[in-house]
Amino acid sequence: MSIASDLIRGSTDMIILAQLMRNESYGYEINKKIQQKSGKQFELKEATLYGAFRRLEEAGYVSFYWGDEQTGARRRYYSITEKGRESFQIMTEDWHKACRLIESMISLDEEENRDE
Amino acid sequence: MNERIKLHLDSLFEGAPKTRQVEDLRQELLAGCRDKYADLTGGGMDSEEAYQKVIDGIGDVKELLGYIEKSEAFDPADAAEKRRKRAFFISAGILGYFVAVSMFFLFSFSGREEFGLALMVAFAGVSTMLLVYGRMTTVVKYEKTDDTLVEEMKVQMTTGKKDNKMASMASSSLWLLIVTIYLVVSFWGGRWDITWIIFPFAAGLQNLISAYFKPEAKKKHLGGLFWCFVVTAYFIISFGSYAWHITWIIFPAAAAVQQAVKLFTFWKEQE
Repeated sequence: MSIASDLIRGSTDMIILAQLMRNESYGYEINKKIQQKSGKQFELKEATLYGAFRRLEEAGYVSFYWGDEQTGARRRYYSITEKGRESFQIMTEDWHKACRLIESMISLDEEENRDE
Repeated sequence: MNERIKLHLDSLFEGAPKTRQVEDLRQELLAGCRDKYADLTGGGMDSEEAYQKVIDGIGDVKELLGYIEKSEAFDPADAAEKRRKRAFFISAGILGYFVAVSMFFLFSFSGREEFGLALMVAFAGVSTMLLVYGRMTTVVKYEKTDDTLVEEMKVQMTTGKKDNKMASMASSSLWLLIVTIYLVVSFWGGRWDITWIIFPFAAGLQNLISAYFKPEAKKKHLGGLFWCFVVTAYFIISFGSYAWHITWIIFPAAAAVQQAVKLFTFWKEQE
């Protein structure tokens, strides 16, 4: 599981942006959706999540506003910016490219990839 | 249990600098933990187990705090914006002065000096306010040397002083305007016996200005506003009806209203 989780950690930003592509949201809801999508196999640590938010914010990919919860602590609501949308597209394209590349490099079949 | 979560977070943040970014993070983390805890127990989980799960899910806060410390972002963006804004207010203010003087001459030629004078003073007042407001909103704030709460306080204090200046500016404009109106209307209509009523009314407006600029003393000033208007109403009604033997009733009535309002706000705050 450790390689898998390293891989996922490297893709945290992309995973979070994917959630925000749908609708604006706040920390716990985003994490819960991620957990559900992974079939309860994966859940981000809180610190990882909020660290990613700050990174994304600095890069200008997300913007935030404080909720006005009457009781308890206030939530920080995030929404994706236009810049964030663009870079999400690029990230996912790169990701799929890398997947195919790794796939072909670790393949044990002998006869393929001679087409160039 | 919420208190227990908060205590745990406090221990995680121990020794962290008290900057706004850190406080934001603490706030967000607390909200996240409480959301999670509520969700887990709402799903039927035992409270102790849910607490453990929440705590285990927090992860490495120290690393995150380190990251925040390194990235104290500085925003140089609004300098140009401020310059533009200031230029606008200065131009508008100067234009106002020209209009003021023109008004005076315009009405003087048609033989209505008082009216021209009143307009001139009014325009001059507005222009002054534009200039002062423009300067206040664009002046360079106290530069924070670091992002601690103490520095934040200093910034707030300097902006607070600006508000005071603004308040006294607004007050003097108000009184200038009121005196002008009083003189013009009195000379014009010759009703010196009644025009003074504008002063208790103006005192009410003064309270309104104070309430606007000093929200912490809002209640006091709104009370003052109320009484000024009651007094004004008393004189207007009494002079109008000459029923002095009965109009005084407005004072106990007003007192009752004020007590009722006090009770109502007290009751609202309790909720």
